[in-house]
Amino acid sequence: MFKRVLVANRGEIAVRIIRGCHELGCEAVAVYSEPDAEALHVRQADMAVLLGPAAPAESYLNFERILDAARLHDCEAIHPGYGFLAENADFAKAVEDGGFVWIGPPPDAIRRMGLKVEARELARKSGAPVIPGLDNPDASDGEFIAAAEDMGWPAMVKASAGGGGKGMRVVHDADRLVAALEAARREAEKAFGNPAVYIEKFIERPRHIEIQVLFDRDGRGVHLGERECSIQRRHQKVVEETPSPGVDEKLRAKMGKAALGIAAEVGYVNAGTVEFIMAPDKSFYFLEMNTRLQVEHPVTEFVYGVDLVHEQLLVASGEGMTLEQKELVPRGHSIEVRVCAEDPRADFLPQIGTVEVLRTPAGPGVRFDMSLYEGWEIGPDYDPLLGKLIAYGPSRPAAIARLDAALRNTAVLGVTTNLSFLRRVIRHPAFAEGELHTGFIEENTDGLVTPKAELPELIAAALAASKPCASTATVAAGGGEAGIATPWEYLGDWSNT
Amino acid sequence: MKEHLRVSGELHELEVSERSGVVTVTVDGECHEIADLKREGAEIVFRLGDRTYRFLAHTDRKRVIIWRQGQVRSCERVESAAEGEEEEAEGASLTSQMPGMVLKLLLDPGAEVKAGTPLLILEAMKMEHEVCAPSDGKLVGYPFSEGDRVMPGDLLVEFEVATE
Repeated sequence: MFKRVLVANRGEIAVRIIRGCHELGCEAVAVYSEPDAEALHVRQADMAVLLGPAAPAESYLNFERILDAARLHDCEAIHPGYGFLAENADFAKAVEDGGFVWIGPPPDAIRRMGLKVEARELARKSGAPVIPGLDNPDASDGEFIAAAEDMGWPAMVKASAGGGGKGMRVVHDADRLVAALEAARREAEKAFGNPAVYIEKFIERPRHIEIQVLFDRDGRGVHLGERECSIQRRHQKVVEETPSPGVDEKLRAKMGKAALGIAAEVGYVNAGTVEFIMAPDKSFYFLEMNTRLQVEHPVTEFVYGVDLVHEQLLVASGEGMTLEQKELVPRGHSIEVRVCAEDPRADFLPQIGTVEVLRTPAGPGVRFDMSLYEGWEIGPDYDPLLGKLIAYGPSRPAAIARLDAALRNTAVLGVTTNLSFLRRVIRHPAFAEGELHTGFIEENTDGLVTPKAELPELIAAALAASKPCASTATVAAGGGEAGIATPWEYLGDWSNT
Repeated sequence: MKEHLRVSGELHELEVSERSGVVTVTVDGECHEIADLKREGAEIVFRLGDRTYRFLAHTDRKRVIIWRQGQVRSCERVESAAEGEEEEAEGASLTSQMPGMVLKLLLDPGAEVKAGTPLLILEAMKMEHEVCAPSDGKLVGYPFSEGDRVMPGDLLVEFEVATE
């Protein structure tokens, strides 16, 4: 095993990887930007190196600074997490050229799978089904319109270098397509430095099913079943689970085989995920391959009893993976929800703020991967994902019940989060039925709105409001409101923190 | 002292008073006596009728946030009932809630628009957000130009609600 690994990321995933390193007796070096100086990943690492200012280009995307940090602390390997540089082939190459081990697939595999057009070609070659579309990045708007008319509306516009929903648009007619192409190119240029976009047929009421794969350095690969990520909002995953209520053992084996074929076609090594879209008739099509650890990897870890970060480290260090396909049998059910700093009542706008109160759930089959603590300030510079709450149970209803109870006991106050919204999603009768598709949230919005406030809540709000808080007191001192007696003063024994 | 809070879109008038050890909370003119009131850190515990309620609370200048058993309420502080009604009429959604950048101004000032028409694209946290007309009305103007940085609370669009 490595003696020391640099974790080139922040937030919950950096914390999770650092924990994985420590469990294997390996030291972890964190990197951070100026606003992250007091971040949890910095606090938990054995050493930490400042990269630069908040802007990702000057910190978490800065090749040179990260490689300098790895040299400074004699790291043997670099783990990129997800996002930032995880799918940047040039960085992976720079890591290897710098004499470090890259904990991920070969740079060439990242590059080829990162170009969505080439990825589709690889999938086609391996014999996997691919969605109809026009993937020539030089096509004119007219050609895109013609192709969309050909395969039938609606069409989906996607960024060639994309991921995470950035640049994606569903378009229902030719009139809107040109504007959608323009917006998608703009977003793609910003997010990935590459404005190329393509279109494909949009499958209505689809399920998003992905297969986890793991390859060692000798080309031996296994799959760890599927994850269903159909509950999405604006193409961002919200709830993920395994097994999928829509996949049986036979279909799992078939999709697993297709995923392994696609990954083998590109000479894949280490952990990766092959994403498929599944039509209501259970036909499935290759969507893309994520050449890294996924946000939602914990549900697979629960159900297969595997630690994917350990396996990544074992493969990268040359010790080899410990898994055999015939031993990989799913047991029970696991569901994850993504906890984000966003306001569901204000169109899910990202929120900033300080975590003033934090209560975390516990108990068997409950896992909360996050990077929060009381006093931590969530700023505007990075992704609003705060963490993931994951539950495991012997059956799907048992996993839902555990997740529901865990959400009941989770509080993050001081910054607006989607926690209450997540709880309403997993309590929705349609969710219990397992009839999932990517339009679930839009379709069931009525059942997901906040119920009206009840009397005890209004009483609690009144009690909280009538007590002066620190910031009000400051304002009052300058604003001439000081000296008004409140119940808190004459009730005496209440703290004023 | 009376507090005015907007909770889930509705304006409530609330008042807490204490007389010889008995705490009474008035909610929209109705008095409710509570017992065994305790506060420890962020916790507020009280008894109402035969049930004990345990809440977590956080307050700042603008909001009162309460939590119980996974249910969060963000209550907006309003100076007075009159102001609350005024704000409601204006529609507060045309101010930026995030630090960000004005990416695109979509229409020319003077345009008459229907509710929900996209007026401006704001980029925040690396995502694009459309700012839409809160009701039928007229786009008066844009205080910012494309590429300008904006802060929370900045008015993004000057908008006149159609008078019907």
